[in-house]
Amino acid sequence: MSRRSLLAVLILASITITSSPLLADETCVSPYMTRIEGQEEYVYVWTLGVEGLGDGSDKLVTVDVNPKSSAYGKIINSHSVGGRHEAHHGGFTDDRKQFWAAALDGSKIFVFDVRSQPSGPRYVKTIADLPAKSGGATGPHGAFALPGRMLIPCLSNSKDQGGRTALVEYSNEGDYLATHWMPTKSNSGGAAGAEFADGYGYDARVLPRKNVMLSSSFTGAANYMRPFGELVQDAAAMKNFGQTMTLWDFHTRKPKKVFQVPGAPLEVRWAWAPKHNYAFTATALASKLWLVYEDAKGEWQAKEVAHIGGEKGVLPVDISLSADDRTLFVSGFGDGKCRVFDVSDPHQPKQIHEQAVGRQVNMVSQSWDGKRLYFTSSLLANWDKQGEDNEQFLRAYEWNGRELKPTFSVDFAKEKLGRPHAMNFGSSKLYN
Amino acid sequence: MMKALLPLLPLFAMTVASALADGETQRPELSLPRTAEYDYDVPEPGTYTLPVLKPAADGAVLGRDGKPVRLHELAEGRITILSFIYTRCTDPRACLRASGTLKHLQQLTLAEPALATNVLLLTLSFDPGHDTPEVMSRYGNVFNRKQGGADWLFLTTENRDQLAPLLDRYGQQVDRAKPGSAGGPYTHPLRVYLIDGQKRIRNIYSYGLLDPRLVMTDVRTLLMEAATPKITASK
Repeated sequence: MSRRSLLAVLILASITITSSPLLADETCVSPYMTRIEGQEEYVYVWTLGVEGLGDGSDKLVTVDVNPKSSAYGKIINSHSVGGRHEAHHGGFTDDRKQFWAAALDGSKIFVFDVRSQPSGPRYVKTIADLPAKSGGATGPHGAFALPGRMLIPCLSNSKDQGGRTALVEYSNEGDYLATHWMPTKSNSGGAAGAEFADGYGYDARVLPRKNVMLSSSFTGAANYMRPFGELVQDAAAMKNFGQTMTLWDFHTRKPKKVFQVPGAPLEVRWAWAPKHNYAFTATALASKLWLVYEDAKGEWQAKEVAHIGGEKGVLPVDISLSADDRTLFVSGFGDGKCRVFDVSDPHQPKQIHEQAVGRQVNMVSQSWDGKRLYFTSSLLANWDKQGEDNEQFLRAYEWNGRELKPTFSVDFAKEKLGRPHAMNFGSSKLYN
Repeated sequence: MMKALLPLLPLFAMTVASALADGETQRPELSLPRTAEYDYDVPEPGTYTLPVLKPAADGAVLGRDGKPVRLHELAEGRITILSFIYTRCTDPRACLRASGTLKHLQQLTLAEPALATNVLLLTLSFDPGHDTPEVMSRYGNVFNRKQGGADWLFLTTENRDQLAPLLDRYGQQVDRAKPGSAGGPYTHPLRVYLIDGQKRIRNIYSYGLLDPRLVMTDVRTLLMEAATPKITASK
């Protein structure tokens, strides 16, 4: 091949190669990261401290999940950050060197080095300037990796502790970069569907090939810090939940369209296949599965595609879409069950399996090959169930395509650790 | 030559900004089609902001002639697009992709000589043991044949000690691959850096973002920004 021909091929390649699985990570994290392709070795569990239990502090707990390890299914490390901050979600930086653990109460982000010793993440620093630098956004919900920076979707604000909030960006070094307030009726940023805009936020994830970002909406600190039993009796407060999802132009960070999605749409899961231009979410209060998709005319739409659980609903709080876009796992906090849907036709999901995980269940995470799933139990410190129903665990299962089979369980109460919440995978094989 | 042109940068930027506002200048990048990977219309330049991510680190490097030079000296105030690669990489989605995209950007500047003089393309190897100045020169000859457009320089470093601080400060991760790995002896995230005339990183492109249309739009956005009069405190 001549140099000219080689050059032509290279240039053509630069504009025509389609998205590859290498762009992805294990099913539900940022597409900008290297993913763990095989067996994950560790699950990092961001855990809420409980007063009177152990040291009472929030902590990042490392569980060995390598079946070949003598410590399989055991806790091998725990690092307390001191105090209780309503530990919630987190995420790795795009180079997967750091794990950013977000905490709602006090709006802190605890940064851990996971590269130096993947079996025992090392605390690096705390980012505590988010409310001040962002112009009043509070309640960092999680951390989504972008190239060289982190996107922090927030839940609330320092002015009234309501649901008006923003997406905030930091550099990987921990320096504040920008704030993007969620659209409202009076400040919609030119988005279509501005009449629905409520300014609420929760999750935010990017579909790079379409240059779009999709955000969802929950509620503000005044609600999520309040005891759940008390909250549900307050009709006025129960109106203060997100009813929308927003599609953004990712590059410009400008809202394009606001969808009416009633009942607090939470986690956003984009499909992976190159032509699958859609995402799922579940509405916690309405117990519905929603699809946000690009229609045949290139317009983005949102529609309800399934009811989850019985008539009363099950408070679906987390979802996990398999890497082949065919199977969706939905955890219901209300009845502690995981429901599995065949979503081969995303417009017509069909429930194919149901598994009782515990008396309460919140997060669900799966391996890239879809064979292993992990569940944790805690939703929010003041929303977890009481008494015997307040089980606190990490439970692992195998999925054989038909049913979930338990493999191991760690009792976080018995181990005096606290309330386990978000799970992220680690592996020493990522680093050489 | 370049230093002589530097005072003209704001004037050029204002001209571009004005022409774009008047719709008089065609943007060559808009002639590129949407693809399966970049399936969207790019925004208008200047309709968004690019936050300053961090200072672009300086450091000693070697040019194709093997002579030492510092990165900041090369930039000479131009908008710089910096790509870290290694020539032994055989993954078409990584280093070859980055160099192919820089070639595309260079071609896009062909029709706008004034713009071309204010853009610098840099390809810097993170494999100095193999990628000597001679190797980088041969690599450069494949991509950068004399045909005009923005300057494109192919660089390496003396050794790993000289390279390490640059990788660290830019945040370019490089790991050894498993022996016999199909993509080459290293694994690394694809990263290309957009650096403004004040030596600040303004964007980082990775998988899914290294769209020549988008990068060129960002370049125009920085040029428009440079042309915007600053409001002084006294006013």
